[in-house]
Amino acid sequence: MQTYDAVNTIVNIIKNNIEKIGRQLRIIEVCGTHTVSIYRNGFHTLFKGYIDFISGPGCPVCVTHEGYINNLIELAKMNYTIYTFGDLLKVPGKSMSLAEARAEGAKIKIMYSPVDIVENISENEEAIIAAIGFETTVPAFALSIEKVLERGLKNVKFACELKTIDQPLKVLLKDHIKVDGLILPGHVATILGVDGFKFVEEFKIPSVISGFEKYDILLSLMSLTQSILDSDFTVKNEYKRVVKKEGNTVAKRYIERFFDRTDAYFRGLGLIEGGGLRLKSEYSAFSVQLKYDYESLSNSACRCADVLTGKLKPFECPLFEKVCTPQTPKGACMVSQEGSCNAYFRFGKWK
Amino acid sequence: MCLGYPAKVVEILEDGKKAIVDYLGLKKTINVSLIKGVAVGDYLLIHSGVAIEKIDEKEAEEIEKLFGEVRNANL
Repeated sequence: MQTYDAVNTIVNIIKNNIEKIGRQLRIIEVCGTHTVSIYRNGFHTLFKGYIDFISGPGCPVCVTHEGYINNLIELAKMNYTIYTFGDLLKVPGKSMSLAEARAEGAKIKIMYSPVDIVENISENEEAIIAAIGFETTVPAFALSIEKVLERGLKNVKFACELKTIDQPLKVLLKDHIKVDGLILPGHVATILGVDGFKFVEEFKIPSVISGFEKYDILLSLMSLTQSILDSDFTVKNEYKRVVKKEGNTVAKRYIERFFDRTDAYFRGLGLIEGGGLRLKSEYSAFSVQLKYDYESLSNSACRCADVLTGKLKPFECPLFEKVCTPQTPKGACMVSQEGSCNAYFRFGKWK
Repeated sequence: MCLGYPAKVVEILEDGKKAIVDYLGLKKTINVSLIKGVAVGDYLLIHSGVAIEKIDEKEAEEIEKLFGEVRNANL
């Protein structure tokens, strides 16, 4: 029974903190993996009336725009084999998704690890690796490029739509959203360290780096509500078993060795200066030139953009549950297992 | 997308850039280039087939101590 006592004690501390603050808190969980953990474990109902959880832009699939999917489908039509994380398969492009293109015969293969792909690929397969992800995943692509160089492969290229977390967060906090606190992404922080999120302090909003287990979220909420109560804007680290102050310095060096900052388009936030990473010019031979026409990105009734910026709850979108479901997704937030629409659909008890 | 899972190192492979890890009884070869001084018995956090950090066991034990069987608690 000790467990229940520990959980109840912490839940009560969190609720007491919020009662002292005297209003319902708006807390943004930046990372999609946190979104799933919060909904799956029922924290949105446990803290109903105390915390309004808002899902942030830290789900790479959700912020990937259809222009990228269109490019990959074009490349598949040119007879390249496309290697992609499974999460991207159902994201709607202009005319079809990668899954639909595959059903029509395009060579689209699912990868678990890009490093494994480049280690084992034959020199005769003209392949393009769909590189999406935030800083957690970027080192894996850096290691892949190193392996391509080691093997002297000429038949593998990368379609980079990699993102950084700091710039979109700055844009979101500056222009789009008013929140009381932030739950920061634990695995991006594993790479960037606590230092990588110091910039959040400038916004004078309390924040905490959190792990992903039930008890991680509880400890982080206890810490965050205490910070809000004390108006303490220091970035707190409640994922100490993994996240160091300086992060993983080897991984950071790998990112710097292969990648430069570039502008990137985020669904919901638009084009963000320095919001992406591209291969450095000396490695441009391994990079696919992607052609984007941001003006023509289709404007469907899907309200992903408003969901991603906290202006709308998934169930307030006119498509939600009616025509947009995980089986028939109309937007990326429903496609991705980590999208807030998908999490609401599966675990939400919003009525 | 940023999922990571903890796994225990059971064997370092020859070049030290790879290791075999055990996750719930499942053995997998992963890349450990990003980790300094990997040793058998270490717990690593794995993402996309790459170890991105060592897990500090002392810190992990403290949380376990605090919560014991919290994983099975119905919140």
